[in-house]
Amino acid sequence: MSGCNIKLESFEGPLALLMHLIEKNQIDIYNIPIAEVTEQYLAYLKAMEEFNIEIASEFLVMAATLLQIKSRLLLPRPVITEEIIEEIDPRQELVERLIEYRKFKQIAEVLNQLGEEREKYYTRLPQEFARQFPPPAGLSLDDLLRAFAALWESTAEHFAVIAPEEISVKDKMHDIITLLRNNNGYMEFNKTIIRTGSRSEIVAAFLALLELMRLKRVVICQERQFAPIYLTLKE
Amino acid sequence: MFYRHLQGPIEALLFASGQPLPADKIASILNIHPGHVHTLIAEMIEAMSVDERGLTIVEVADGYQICTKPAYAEIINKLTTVQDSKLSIAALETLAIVAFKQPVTKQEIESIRGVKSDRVITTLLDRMLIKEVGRKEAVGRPILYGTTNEFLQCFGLKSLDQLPAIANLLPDDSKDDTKTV
Repeated sequence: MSGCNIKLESFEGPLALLMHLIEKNQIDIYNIPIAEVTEQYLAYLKAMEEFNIEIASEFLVMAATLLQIKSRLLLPRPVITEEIIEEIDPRQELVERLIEYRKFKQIAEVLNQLGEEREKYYTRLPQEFARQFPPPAGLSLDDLLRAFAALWESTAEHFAVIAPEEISVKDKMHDIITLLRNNNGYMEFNKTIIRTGSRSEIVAAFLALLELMRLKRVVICQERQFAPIYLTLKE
Repeated sequence: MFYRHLQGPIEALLFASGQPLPADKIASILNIHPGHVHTLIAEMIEAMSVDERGLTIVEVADGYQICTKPAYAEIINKLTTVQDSKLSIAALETLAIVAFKQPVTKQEIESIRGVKSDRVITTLLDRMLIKEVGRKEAVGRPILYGTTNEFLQCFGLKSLDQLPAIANLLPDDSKDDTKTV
């Protein structure tokens, strides 16, 4: 076989190429002459190579499969006396795959015809219906006034003035130093929150601690994230 | 026919909807039995079949849809430049597999086609012909695909029940074991 007279078509995949070879040679799918088909299949791959077309790995896998089937068919079969054991044809799996593939190929053609048929029917795009919000029924101006009055009365003076509590960073710095001195220069950070325990105190204490570290008055250690922070006083 | 005065309203509803309208929806709007809707529409289709009328009603995607008659497709084509949006052979093959094997995974599709199918599946998803319908209870819980209502409309199918009938259109040697959906 010369590679020159192969008209190089592109195939979706190895099964498509095999189907093409089978149809072209009018082969009975249930009795594939493996040697012949393998030879043609490989010739196609060779032609692809000559045209510098990248061969997808699936094609190579199929080539290997074909060669394997071919070699298994060539192997002499052990002669079994009297009883004939039904052997599994090495081609069987390939044939099943081809038949399944062919079935969907044919369904695809039918779908294509149906699609072309349906394309002749023109339809309108769906009408956009804006969502409608009808006004609530049975309400009067009195209802509105009543609702307003109820609201007006409910806003009685139920409030208290809360004075912001100021805890300064400076105060906390003093706190921390004093506490450390009273605790032999070593303590946990949490223990320095001694006033209100409010969020603002915690923030102030933390800023104070940072400040003390900057001033090299305090050294801290923490074993891991979120573990207790221990402070050591440097006098 | 007793309800004939409702044929006007039905025609108006179908026109306004554009999309296929299920018979029971029409029935509930007009306060009649769905059975009457089928009868009325059958009469309407009959009346519309004369040459003087350019529209017809088709039963598609579990509903009724008003549309132009196929005979006038070429005339309508002159109205606009038609964007050619034909599906590739690969896309059609893949769609056929999804239609008959649904719910189906990408791997199952690939084992039948013998090639990678990611791109084709993306195309079909983009064109809303298939959709994700769940996950398979297997390793990696792969996505399961099925067909959409758009698919039914695209191919003029009344419902998925019609698919086995398609299998009967195949050449004899392929009729063996087409799985029904």
